[in-house]
Amino acid sequence: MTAELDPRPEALPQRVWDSVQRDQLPPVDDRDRMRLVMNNLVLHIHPSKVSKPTLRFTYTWGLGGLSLLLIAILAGTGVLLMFAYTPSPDQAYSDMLALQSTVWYGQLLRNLHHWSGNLLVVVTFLHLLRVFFTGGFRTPREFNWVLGVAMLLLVVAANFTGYLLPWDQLAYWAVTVGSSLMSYVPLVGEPLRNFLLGGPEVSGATLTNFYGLHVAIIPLTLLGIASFHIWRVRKDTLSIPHNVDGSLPEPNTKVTTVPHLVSREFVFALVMTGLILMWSVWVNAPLEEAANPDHSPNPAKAAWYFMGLQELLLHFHPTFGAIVIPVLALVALALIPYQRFDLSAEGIWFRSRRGRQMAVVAVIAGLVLTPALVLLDEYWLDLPELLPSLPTIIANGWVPLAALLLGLLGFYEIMRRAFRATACETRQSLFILLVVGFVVLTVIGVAFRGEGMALMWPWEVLS
Amino acid sequence: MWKKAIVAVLVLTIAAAVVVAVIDNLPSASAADQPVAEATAVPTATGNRFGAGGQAAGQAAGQHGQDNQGSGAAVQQELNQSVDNVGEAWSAAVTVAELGDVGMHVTLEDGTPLYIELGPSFFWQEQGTLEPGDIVTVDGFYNGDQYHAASITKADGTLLALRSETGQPLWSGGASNAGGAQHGDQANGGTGEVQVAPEDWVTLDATVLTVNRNGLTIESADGETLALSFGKASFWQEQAVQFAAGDAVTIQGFWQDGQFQTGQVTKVATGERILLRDPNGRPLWGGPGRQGGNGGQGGHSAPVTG
Repeated sequence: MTAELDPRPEALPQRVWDSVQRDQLPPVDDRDRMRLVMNNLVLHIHPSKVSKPTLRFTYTWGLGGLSLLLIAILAGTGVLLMFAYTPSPDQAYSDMLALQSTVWYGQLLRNLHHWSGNLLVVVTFLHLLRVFFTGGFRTPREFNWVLGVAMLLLVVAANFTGYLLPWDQLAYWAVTVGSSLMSYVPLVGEPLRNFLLGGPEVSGATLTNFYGLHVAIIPLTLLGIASFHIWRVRKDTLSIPHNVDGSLPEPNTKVTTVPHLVSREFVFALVMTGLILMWSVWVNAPLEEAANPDHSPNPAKAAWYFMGLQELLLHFHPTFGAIVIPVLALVALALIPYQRFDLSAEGIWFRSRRGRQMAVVAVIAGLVLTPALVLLDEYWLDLPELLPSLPTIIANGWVPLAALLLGLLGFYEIMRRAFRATACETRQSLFILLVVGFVVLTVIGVAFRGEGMALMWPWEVLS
Repeated sequence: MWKKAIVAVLVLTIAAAVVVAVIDNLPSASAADQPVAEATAVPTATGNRFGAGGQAAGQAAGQHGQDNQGSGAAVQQELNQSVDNVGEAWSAAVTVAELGDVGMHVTLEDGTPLYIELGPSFFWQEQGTLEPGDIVTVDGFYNGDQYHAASITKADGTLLALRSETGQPLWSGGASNAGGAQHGDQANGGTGEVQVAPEDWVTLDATVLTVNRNGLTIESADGETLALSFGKASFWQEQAVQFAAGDAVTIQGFWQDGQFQTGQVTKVATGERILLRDPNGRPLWGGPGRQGGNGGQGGHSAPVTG
C-alpha cells in the first residue's frame, strides 16, 4: 500500500483559506473572473459577462443597486436598534430618548435607519420611473414590473409601520391620520383598520402589531419578492441602452462582470454609504414630544409619502380620494407593461426625440395645471354647494373624477395630434403628467398646508 | 368601441352635472313673486360659517325638534324668502317665550314668534339656566327647515355653547355624530367611544399657575400641581376665554390611565367657561372630513379638513 500525497498546500492557514475561497484570488484571466462570479453566492446575481453599454451609469443611475444597499443598511441598523427598543407605549419613547442620549452611537444608528428608510421610498420610486422611461419593462419583463410595483408598496408599508415606533407625537398622529384613510374602503375598511390597529384607534396593540410587521413580516416578504425580482432580472438580462437615434452608444461587446460591473457597483456603494453616513451625522431624525392621544397637532398630517393622498382627500369625496382614484392609479400602473409597446423605443430614454419634447411639455403642464386645479377647488369651485340636490359622493366624487378623466383624455388627444406621436409616446406623456401631478400634490400637502389644513401661499410659508 | 362608451359616459356625466347645477341654482319663482318679509324680523346673517356641514348637523338635531315647530313654522316659511342659502349663519336678539325639551319658542324684537332648536336640554342646562322672559342673543344657523342655536349669550354674559363653529352638536360626542363639516377647519381628535362613566367625573377647585399653548398648569386646592393639556389648541383658544396666572378656576374632568382629562374649565370670577369634552368624556375638537357623508370616522383620526 503506497501513501497517496495530499495535494493541498502545506501551510494550515492556506488550507483553511482555500476551503472558504475556492477560486484563485485575484483572478488572472477572464476564465477565472467568470468562474469567480459563477461560484460566488452574492456575485451570482450577475451574469458572468455583461453587455458593455449597460455599464453606462446614466442608463440605470444605479437605482436598483442603491435600493439593495439601502435595504442592507436598514437590516443592519434595524437589528442593532432592536437591542435598545421595547415596543410598548410605556417604554418606547423613553427608549428613544435613551438611545439618543446614553447608547453609544445610538443617535447615529437611528439617523441612519430613519434616513435610509425615507431614501428607500424615493429611490424605489425613481427606479420605477427609470425602468418606465427606458422601456425596461418590455417583454418578457412585464411581470417583473408588477413585482417592482408590489415592492414599492411594501417599502411604503415598511416605512409606515416604522413611523409609529418612536411613539412621539409625529408618529402617533401621522399613523392615526394615515390609517384612517383605510376606513374609507367600503365594507372591509373599518374592520381592516381595526384589525391592523388592534382596536378602533392607535394604541399599545397597534404598536405591537406594527412592530411585528416592521421587523418580521414585511422584511421577509420584501426579501422573498426582491429575490424573485433579481432572479428574473438575471434571467431576462438587462435591456441595452440606445442613443435617441436608435444607435448603440458604444459597440455592443460583452465584458466580464469582474471587474467591470462589480468595481463600478463597489465604488458607487462606497460613495452612497459615505453620503448617507455624512447626512446622518449632521441631520438628526425627528423626535417630538411623547405621543399624546388627547392632543392632536394642528395640522395633523400623514407621513410625507401619503400627503398626496391626503391632499386628494381635500378635493374629492373620501371614497374617491382614498379608494377609487388610488386603486385606479395602481391598476393602471401595474398594467403599463401589458400595453402595446414600440419595440424600437426600448433602451432609449423617453422613447425618442419627440418623446423627450412631449415629456417637457407634460412636465410643464403638470406643474401648472395641478396647482391651478387645487386653487380652483380651494377658492372658487364648491361642487357640493353648486349641486346641492346630488349626494356628495356624486357631486364631489364622480363628477370631478369624470371631469378629470375627460381632461386627461383631452390632453392625450391634444398631445397625440400636436406632436403626431405614437401611442407609446403619448401614453408616456400622460404618465408624466400624472406623476408630476402626484408629486405636486405631495409637495402642496407637505409644505403648503397650515393649521386646519388651510392652503398657504408661498410667502406665508416662508414668513 | 368601449373607449367611445367610456367617453360618452364621462361626457354625459358632465352634461348632467351642468344641467343639475343650473336647475339647483335657478332663483325660486315663488320666492321672486313674494314680497320680502319684514326686514327687521329677520335674524341677521353673519356669514356662511356653517356651510353644508351644518345641514348634516341640523339633520341630526332635527330628530329632536321635528315636533316642536308649532307656530314658528309659519314664520320660518316666511323667512325662507329672505334667507338665501341653507346653512347660513345668523344671530338675533330674542326674548324667550317658552322652553321645550329640545328647543325654545322666542319672539324677535318686532314680536315675530320663532322656534329655535337647542338640542337636548340636559346639555345646555349643565351650562346655565334659561327662563321665559330672558332676553338673549342667539348665534346659530338656518338650514332651510329650522333655526338651530350654536350658542346663547344671556344678558349677564353667560354663554351656553351648543354647537361648534362648524355646526357640529357639542352634545353628540364629536365626529361620531356629525355628517361632515363643509368648511370644517377643526383638525383632529375626538373619539366616538364613551370615555368616562357619569359617576367618574370629578370637580377640582384650583388656581392657575401658568398658561401655555397646550393648556394650563394648575395648583389644586389640596396643593397638587397638574399640567392640563386641553387637546387641539385652536379649539379651546377659539372659545375666547382668557386665563391668567392666579385665576381661580373650577375644573371638571376625569382620570384616565393616570392622566387627568379635562372636560370643562370655568373661570370663577367671570363665570366664563371652555368646553373640551362632552358628558361622555369624548373630545369635542374631533371632526369629520369636509366632504361630508362619511361622518363617524371618530377616534383621533379624522384626517381631512378643509
